[in-house]
Amino acid sequence: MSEQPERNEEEVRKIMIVDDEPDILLYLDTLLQDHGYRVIKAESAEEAWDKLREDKPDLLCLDIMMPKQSGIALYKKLKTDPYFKDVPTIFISAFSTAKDFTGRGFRKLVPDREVPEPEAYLEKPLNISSFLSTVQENIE
Amino acid sequence: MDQVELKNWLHTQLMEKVPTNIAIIDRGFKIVEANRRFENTYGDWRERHCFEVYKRRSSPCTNCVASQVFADGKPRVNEEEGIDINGKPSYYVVHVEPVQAEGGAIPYVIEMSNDVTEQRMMQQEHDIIFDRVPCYISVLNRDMTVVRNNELFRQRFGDALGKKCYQIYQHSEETCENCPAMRTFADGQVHTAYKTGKDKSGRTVYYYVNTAPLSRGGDGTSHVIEMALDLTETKVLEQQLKQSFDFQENLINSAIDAVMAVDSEGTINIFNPSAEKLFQRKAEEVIGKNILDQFVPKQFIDTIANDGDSLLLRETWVTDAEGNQVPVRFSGTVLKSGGKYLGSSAVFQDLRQRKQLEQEKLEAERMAAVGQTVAGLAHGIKNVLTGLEGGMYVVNSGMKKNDMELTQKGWNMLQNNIERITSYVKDFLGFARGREPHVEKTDPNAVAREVVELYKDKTNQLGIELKADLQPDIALANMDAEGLHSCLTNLVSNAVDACEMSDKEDCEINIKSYEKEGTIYFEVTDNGHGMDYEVKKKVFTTFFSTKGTSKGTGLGLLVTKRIAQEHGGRVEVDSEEGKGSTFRLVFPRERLPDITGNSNKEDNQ
Repeated sequence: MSEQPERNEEEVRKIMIVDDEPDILLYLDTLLQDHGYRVIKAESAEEAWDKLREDKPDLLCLDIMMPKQSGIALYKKLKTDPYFKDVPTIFISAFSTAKDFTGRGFRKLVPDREVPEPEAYLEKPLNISSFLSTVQENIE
Repeated sequence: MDQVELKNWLHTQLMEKVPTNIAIIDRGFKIVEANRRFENTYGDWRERHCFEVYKRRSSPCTNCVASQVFADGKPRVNEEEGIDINGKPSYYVVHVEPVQAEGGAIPYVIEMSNDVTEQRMMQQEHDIIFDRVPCYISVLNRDMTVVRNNELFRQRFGDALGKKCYQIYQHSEETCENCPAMRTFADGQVHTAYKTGKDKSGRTVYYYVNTAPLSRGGDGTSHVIEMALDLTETKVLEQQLKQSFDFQENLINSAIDAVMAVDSEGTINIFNPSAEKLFQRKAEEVIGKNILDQFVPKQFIDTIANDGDSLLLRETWVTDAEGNQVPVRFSGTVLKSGGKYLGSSAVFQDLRQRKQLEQEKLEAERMAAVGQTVAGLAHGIKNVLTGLEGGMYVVNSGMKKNDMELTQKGWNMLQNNIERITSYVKDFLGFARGREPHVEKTDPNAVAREVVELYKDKTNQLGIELKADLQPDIALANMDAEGLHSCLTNLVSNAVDACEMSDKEDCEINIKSYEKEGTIYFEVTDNGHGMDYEVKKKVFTTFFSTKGTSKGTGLGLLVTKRIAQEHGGRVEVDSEEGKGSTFRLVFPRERLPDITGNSNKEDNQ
């Protein structure tokens, strides 16, 4: 099942997934575990913030539209925090297309230039192989 | 008495009876003889000089006429001014005749004087009248030359003596057409004319001229006296009045709105081209008739009858000549001056085009909402597809790993998402099809109370306080009660969810209704979790739901928005993250729809 080389316990990469839909969490959790990653799940931006501080992940998969705080609010908080700003982030949403989330589209949502564009933006429904390759590219 | 004595006696009698003052003066200017009449006029003359008696001078007069007669023996006539016995000025005409002795010497002159004081006074008065009368007066001879003119004439036209009247009045070298002076010369009658001329500085003068014949020497009309009354000021006022009248008439005639007016008798005197168009009636068929009631709403007839001031109807209906009902905005004014009724005016703004535009705008808004809904539907389907794909992956993964629990979870995912797509399809069809709104006179508060009743139990169970604050005097309105019910249900349901998502202990929801300046408002306020910026931005534009899989499709607010738009209204939102939200339905009464199936449109001002 695993397409990743065997790693020691210390070398296993940690990925945090944040999505308010339990279905998506279960899906991505299963998918990433099957490919040798350790997964930290959070159902809201608030829960994610608490768990991040306990266990800093190597990569973050972030939904945008969530009740209460949105994914973008959490992203802005991370990217302006010296401890978390190097965590690569992949946005995953059914809400927009990649165009709305890169370049000018992104700057419309986040005018603050201190906040860089995310490493990647993926649209739901996910293409499994491109999702996995994006994860792999950004986690090294 | 012999012949000589008789003659002397008669001469003496003649001296006394002749109606003339007679004095005989010697070469030393002493009065040697005078009659009683003279003495009565100038007093005692004996041993006195003529200049002393006539003028109370102490030396002879310059230009003494008597001395001229002594010199050449020719009789003279002169007009003199003296002082009478009472010390008053006395004007007299004096004939001075030489008395020649044999051998040609002139030892005496006889001065025969007639008192002309009264005539002189009259003359002076006439001169004052002539100069001061507020008319330009001139006397023309047969050549049309000005031989006399008055002070006012000179002030305005300069000194004109010796010039032709047309040079003076017209600055022209030719006589005028229809010259009244020439006509007076021809027929000896008085003639008049209105003329326009120029004064000495070239300014236009309007005047009314009257020419009368003047006979000097008794042989027909030798002169004409021309009296001109200055009308310039009146004329200027008249022109200003006319300009202002023309301006107003123009304004009324070119107005886009239909304008009509009646006088105090109720007779139509204004009916502008826009009124002709609106009512399909010709002005000439209408003006002069007492038929205001055929045009204006009955309320305005009542306003006039009850001595009211004005009437404004935002929207009412008038009937044109073909019997068509036309929607108009009506403004009627009762015209009064010092409490006296002068007439009434009415202005009608044709609302057909505006109605049409409003209809088109509503349609455009509805189409935009459908477009957004389709975009939103794509978003919803993408989520469901992700769920289905995820379910399949999890089932596969569980089976490969022989993990029954994981497999079961995958199946559940598949099942959830199939259910979800089913409800999407149902909701979407409901949205797309819509329902024919049934508009009737509706009590807005009654609908609000029904919704409160509906949610009372549910909110009680959840520990949420549901309050209603309804303004009691909101009048019935043309609304689709069921549609309004759906709107309020959606908003209250959202508020309940917002409270559930909030961590607050004492959540409350308030339904409020009020009317302000012809607009009905409903507000649903919660103190739940509120929305952040991104959510607010998307809240009406997609199938947007933050409630997770189990709750709704995100169509509620879209449906609410569409129903509000069908009522000519809108939905507004105020929300602050963590503090709660207020959703507001706004219904301006003038945009509310007509009652369904009621073609007999009624006044809904």
